[in-house]
Amino acid sequence: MIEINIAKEFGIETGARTYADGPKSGEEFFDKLLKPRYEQAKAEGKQLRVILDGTEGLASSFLNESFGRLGKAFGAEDLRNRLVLISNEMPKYIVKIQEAIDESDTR
Amino acid sequence: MKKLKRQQKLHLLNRAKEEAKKNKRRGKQRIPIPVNSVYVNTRRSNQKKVKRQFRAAPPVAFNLQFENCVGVIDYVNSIKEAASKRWEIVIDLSKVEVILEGAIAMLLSVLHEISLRRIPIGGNVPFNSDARLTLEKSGFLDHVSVRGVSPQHQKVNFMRSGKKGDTKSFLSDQIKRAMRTVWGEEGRCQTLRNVIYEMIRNSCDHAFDPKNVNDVRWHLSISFDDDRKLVKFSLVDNGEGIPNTLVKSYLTTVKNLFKGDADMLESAFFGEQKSRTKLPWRGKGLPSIYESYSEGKIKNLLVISNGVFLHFDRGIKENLNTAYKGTYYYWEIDSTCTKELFID
Repeated sequence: MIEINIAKEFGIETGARTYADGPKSGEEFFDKLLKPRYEQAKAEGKQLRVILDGTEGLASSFLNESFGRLGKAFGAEDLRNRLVLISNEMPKYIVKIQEAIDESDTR
Repeated sequence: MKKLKRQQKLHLLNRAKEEAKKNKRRGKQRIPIPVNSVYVNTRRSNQKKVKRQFRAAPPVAFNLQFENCVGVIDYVNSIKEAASKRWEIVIDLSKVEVILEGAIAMLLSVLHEISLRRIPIGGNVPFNSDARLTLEKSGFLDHVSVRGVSPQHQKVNFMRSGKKGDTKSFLSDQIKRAMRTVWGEEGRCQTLRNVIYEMIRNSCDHAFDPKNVNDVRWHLSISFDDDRKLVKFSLVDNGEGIPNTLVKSYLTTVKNLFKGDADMLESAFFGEQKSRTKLPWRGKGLPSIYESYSEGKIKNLLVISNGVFLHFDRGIKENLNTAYKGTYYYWEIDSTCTKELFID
């Protein structure tokens, strides 16, 4: 299994939606970490585990932008089988991400 | 540089001597100015461009409760109008009897904008001791020159202004301080941080004309009350305002045409308005703020935007007779809120 720990690998202080909103945005997270690791997981036929705990906060705009883009790029069905989300501190993040993925898949 | 002739040098020397004599005479005739009288510091301003002085009495009850907010908004609007004409601004608060942090934050946000344009600002403080104490704690005296008045109480509030794209790393420390005030120990509160992030991003994304995005400014004010274990937050922007942006948006629906601004703003918090970007995963910022409120993580959520007043605790949703150009948020956290505290 391939893993991303947002707090350790991207930062405990994450930003908002796009690069224009400032550093550590959801768009930046998607480009630099989420998309490459997902592609790697897909190529190797593995699951991608994303750990959401330990940050100062993950704004809705951050989660929706990064995972919404992921859903648009790879499709909700593919993500459902491959993506494992861990959020013990804020379980509602998982619900938000699942909604963003479902809404993003317009294919 | 052209060399001066002897005659020209003498003329300049004599003129300087005359000027020095005049200044000396003025100094001798100076009359002491009473404490707390209005004083406008014009030293840093470009005096040639200043035409007239704005001086109007603010409401005696200077707060943003529904009953008093129209008077405060009208007062703030008149300051903005005077500043647009480059008048000197005098904030005469001497007769104010009740003043609350939210209204101070709104006033300071406007004064901050004005000071960036190097327009002189002066004023005084309320004679009422409670009102004066609240004002001093807010840091008002950092922004307004008040002759002969030095703060008797330490500033306990935090205020920060910023624009789109600025780092908000200062928030972590302020949130820890808020947690210490309310719960007695420091820690992370992800919901609180997310609320502030969404408000700031919403101000930048939706409350301003995209053409002027670099002029976007927001003002965050946090007031810590250790005795009451209460933290008050205000976030103000001086942009377009949410209802105006919803109306201008090309995603304005037929349904919206039949809604008043108050209904439209409320429905945006309930997640019934789509993002103008047409990206399906967007448009969740205001609903996530409301979600934090409905979960009890924050309380007393109040929003004023354009001509709309929304106070969720009191169930007030009204179109006002006056309009505030921009958006104002106010909310609180105290020990009656749902506790969310992550200690590392």
